[in-house]
Amino acid sequence: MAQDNVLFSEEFLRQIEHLTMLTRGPVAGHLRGHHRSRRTGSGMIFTDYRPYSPGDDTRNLDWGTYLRLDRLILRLFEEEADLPIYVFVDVSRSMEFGKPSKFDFARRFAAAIAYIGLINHDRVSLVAFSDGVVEEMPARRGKSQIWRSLHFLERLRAAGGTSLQTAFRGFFGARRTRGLVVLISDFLDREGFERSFQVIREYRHDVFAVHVSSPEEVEPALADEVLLVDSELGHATRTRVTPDLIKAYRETFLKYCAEIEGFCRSHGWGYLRASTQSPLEELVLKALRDEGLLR
Amino acid sequence: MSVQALPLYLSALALIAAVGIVALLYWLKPPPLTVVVASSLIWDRVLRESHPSPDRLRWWLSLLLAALIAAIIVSAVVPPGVATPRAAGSKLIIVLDNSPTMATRTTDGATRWDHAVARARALMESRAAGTQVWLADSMRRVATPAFRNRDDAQAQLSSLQVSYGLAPVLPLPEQFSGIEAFVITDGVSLGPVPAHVTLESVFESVENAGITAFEVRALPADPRRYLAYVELFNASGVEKRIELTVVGIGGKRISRVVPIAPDSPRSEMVDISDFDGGPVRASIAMPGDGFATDDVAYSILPAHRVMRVALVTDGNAFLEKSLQVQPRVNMTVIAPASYADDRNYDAIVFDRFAPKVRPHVPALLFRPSRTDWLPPQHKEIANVSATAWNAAHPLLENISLLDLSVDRAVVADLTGRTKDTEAVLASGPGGAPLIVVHEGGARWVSFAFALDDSNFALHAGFPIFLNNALNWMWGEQAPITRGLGVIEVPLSGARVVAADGRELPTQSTAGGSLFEVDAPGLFTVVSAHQRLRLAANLQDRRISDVNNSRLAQVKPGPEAQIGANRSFAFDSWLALLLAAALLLLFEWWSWNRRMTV
Repeated sequence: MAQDNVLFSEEFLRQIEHLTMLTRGPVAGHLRGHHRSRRTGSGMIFTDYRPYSPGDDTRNLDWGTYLRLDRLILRLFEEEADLPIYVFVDVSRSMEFGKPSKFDFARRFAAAIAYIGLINHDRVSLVAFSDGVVEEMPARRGKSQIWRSLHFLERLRAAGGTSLQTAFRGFFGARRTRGLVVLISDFLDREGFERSFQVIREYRHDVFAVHVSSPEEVEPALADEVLLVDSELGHATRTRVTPDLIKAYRETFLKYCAEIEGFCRSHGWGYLRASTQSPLEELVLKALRDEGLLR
Repeated sequence: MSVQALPLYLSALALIAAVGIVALLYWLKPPPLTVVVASSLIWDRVLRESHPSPDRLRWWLSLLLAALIAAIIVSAVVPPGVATPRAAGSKLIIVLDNSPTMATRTTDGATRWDHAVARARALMESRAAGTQVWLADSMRRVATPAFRNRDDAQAQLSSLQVSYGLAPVLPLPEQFSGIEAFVITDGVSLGPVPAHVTLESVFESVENAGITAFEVRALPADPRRYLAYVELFNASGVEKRIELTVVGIGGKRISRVVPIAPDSPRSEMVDISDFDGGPVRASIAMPGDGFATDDVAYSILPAHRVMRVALVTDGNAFLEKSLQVQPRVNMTVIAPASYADDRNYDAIVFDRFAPKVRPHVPALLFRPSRTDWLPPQHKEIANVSATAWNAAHPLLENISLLDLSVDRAVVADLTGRTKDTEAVLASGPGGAPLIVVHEGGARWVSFAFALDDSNFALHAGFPIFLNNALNWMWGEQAPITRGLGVIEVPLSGARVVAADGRELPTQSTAGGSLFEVDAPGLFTVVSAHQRLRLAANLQDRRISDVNNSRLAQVKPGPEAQIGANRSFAFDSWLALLLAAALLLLFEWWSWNRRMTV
């Protein structure tokens, strides 16, 4: 791996320490954290009143109301919970393509997300997938887990094909708390992305898709007669590359990206198209902020 | 550009080799550059939407196109020949038509004869080396055709050429059953071909116009005026405008454009009175004329001098009037008693009289009196007619003595007078000399009879005879006109010189000389004592009509009828290359659209 030892610069880490992961609704975390929870409890933000019931915490009784109305009224507060973040990293063979490779880029991006989550006391799970779940780092919390997360990412190797649906069903088949799913992939799945994304929708997770592409994919430098070999499946297609064909390829590729983005936008998901040539720092600090994932 | 045909089996081998090489090159074609892509998902979509042919199909299509192009090019360069080689020892009969119309030029620039020779050569080369070839020609150039080995026959073929003069015949061996026989002809002059003989046609319709008659004559009403009579013939099948030009010496030239209906003759009279005496050349010009030999003709215009003639007679009104009507004759009648000398005359006509001293100028004598310089008189004969005469002599040109009747004649005894300067022009029974001519020095012509004693003066040709006699005696006889081909002149050991000074080879015969002329022209035949002018012209409408072929109706062409036995013509060669070029264009187009690899 080209950048195993330099995943992040010190400056970059200092900058992202101040970033916080955002969700579009209350989260379902059960540990205390910085995100609004669906539950009411011991938070700082007042939400409602309700009649006192035996067993309620008497510390929340509104004594002023009792004096005026002679009734025991309980004050309710919004409980602040942690955010479960599921970072899915595509480790299929297709991610090895490009210079720098999409795989390296995805791992660095996943590390940045994980870092932001961990320093904000969110529970971060790292999931490597290709044609299924390859490896999983169980949920970690706290800044101290950052090195474990980085080590997990460093150990990953690209292999196998791509099956988003199998990976999602395999992972979310086990009971998972609803949270933020960050998908980092090139989405080159022959089964199509729609059915895979529907799986996540079933579990009502908040999703942010990071579509990784390399410049070589967008503008392939091919000429004359070539044998195109699929890196995942190994099957070959013989063709003669002409300027018209390159143009058609470019249009089809952009159309494919637009289809994915359209699906995400239509379902309220976040979408970011990330070129491997774009500086990671800029993407994390600016693009993710613009997309509403970070604050 | 001509294309050499190969035997069928060699052509097939070349074809197979070309296709094989193309296929091999395709098999050995380096594999395309392998490029690993992240996923072929997008590429598959693109290729599916652009509907490319399957790889294997494209490969086969490319191979098929390349093989087809190679095959066509090979077929164009080495076309299949005439036949499969036969075993050594087989026999072959080839008869070539070398009649004049075979000199017609075809659209590819070669003549029908060139095509015929190429066809004959291909026929021979398609046979095994040991094949015996019987080669003959319709104009009998090959005097004794016989079976010869192929190489000798090829050499013999090279010596053949288009010939003129004789009527073409179809020479074939008496027995040739079981032997392949080919007749290569344009079908114009040659007669029918036996059914079991394969006809190879080299006919191709061309445009042609020709001069079928050309003569220079004095105008009867005014002997000092001369007209050139030209007959033209248009064999083109469509109306043509032909430029006729008559040229004389001294740069005199008359041109006119003459429209001629298709397949029709047209006569033109050109007044050439202003021309100086000497050679006259008539020529025609028509764009695309395929047969040049009939486009020019020659004649000679007599000099316009007045001849001073003395008639020495006691009185002969008929002869006197006949001489007076001769053009260019200024006649003086003198009584024999008054005749002194010949100083003031160009020629003298003696009627029943002969001077004692031989005149220094030419003389025409009718039953001369006895004198020393003439052959001695032998005897008198009565009631005789001419039994033999030299019709080729200029004196008797256009004259027939068939009806000559002589009541009384005094014949000379030529025994012992072996001078070749004296000759008997006409003789009666028993060889009795009726007309004797002398060519050494001043010429003379002596008749054994007087005009009053014969019916010669009553002949329609008598004035013509007088004209011939005066011209001959004065050395200005009209040129002898002959057709092209082998020409015989009545002069032994003669030299023949063309107008450009080139001397033609001659062959002496009994009493004459032979030489061959293959193009129109003026020639001078010179012997020890005589000099003749000879105009050789084609002037044969049957030859000028070069499209009047029995094979003209064969559609789409006589060669197609012959089928596999024909060589490729130029147009086939061109068409094949054109087809190959079109296929190359198609291959390029399909390659750019990824239909081929």
